[in-house]
Amino acid sequence: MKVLLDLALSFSQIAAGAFGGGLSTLPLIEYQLVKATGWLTESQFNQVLALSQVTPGPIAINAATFVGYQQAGIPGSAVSTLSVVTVPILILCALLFLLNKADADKGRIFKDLIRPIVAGLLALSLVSPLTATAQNGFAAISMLILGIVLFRFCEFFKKYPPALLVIFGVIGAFLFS
Amino acid sequence: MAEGIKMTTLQLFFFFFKISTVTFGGGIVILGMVKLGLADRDDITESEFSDMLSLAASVPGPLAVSIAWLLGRHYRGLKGSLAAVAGAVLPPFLIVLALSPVIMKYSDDPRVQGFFKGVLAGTGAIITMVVSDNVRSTLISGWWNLVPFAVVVVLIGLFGAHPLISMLAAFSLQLLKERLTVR
Repeated sequence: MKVLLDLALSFSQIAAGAFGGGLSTLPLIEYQLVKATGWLTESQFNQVLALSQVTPGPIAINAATFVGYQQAGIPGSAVSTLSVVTVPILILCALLFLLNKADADKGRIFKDLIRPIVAGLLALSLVSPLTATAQNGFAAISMLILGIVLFRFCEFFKKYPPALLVIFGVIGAFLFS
Repeated sequence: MAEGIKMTTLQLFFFFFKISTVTFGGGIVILGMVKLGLADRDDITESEFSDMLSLAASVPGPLAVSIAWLLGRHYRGLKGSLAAVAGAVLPPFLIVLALSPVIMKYSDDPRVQGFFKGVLAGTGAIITMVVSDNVRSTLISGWWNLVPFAVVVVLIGLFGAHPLISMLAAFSLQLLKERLTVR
């Protein structure tokens, strides 16, 4: 029971601080799951990050489903995922309620104010995958550089094939085992 | 296509179920997919949708969840919201739930570890791209932006402070600055 409560609390915090969506959530997820609770080791965190990139859906939901399962099976998985979903909805409903009174400009000002903070979080989200890749040796670093070139290429043609990451994984499975 | 006929609750569920199944990484990509999916409907206007986007982006949490809630609400009120969010969340939930026991069982297998190392290298590439673009455009849009940026990076990265507290500190600084400058 206690572990379910801990999961709910941790993932509620992750959801409440997940501004800017996606990658900018990583420092908070890492803090909660590695540092505050010890549920994941640094290398397990990187595995969860990799997993979230080759499965559909937002990182926070992928992490919640996996870590919830790891800690308390299917109930843990359900509780964690629901927490990540419910907290933003409650905040959204509160905002919708308040918006009748406040002016719409406030939303835009808020976004301007939060932007450099999101940029800071994004910069921090680089630390963990880059250090891990550097530790994985020369082959991993080469793959990273190749990836930057490849994805820039994809960006130019406005096509983003998620299968590309799966191919990276398959290459990795041969290279690193 | 659908002339004046509003999406039903069931349609809302499957609309998000489909998008959510094929969208990897979440975030901004999903907003583009939703916009694309709504392009040939005349029961929602451009400005209604862009209002939803700015609202969805100003609350925390996955964008997929907030846009599903707002779009569901637009069409069918609370019932629509619940159906849309369920549609958005179920695919990633079920897929990761199915994979979790397999990953946990074989996490010591060198091939599984190698797979994740490879994906991580590719992920590092994506993050490097996204981050460099975002950080550059944020920091060149005003010298002040460097201050809250640095506060977050130093507090979390150097001092290991709690991200929520660090964000709050940076945001307070932003509010203070907003007060002091006349718009």
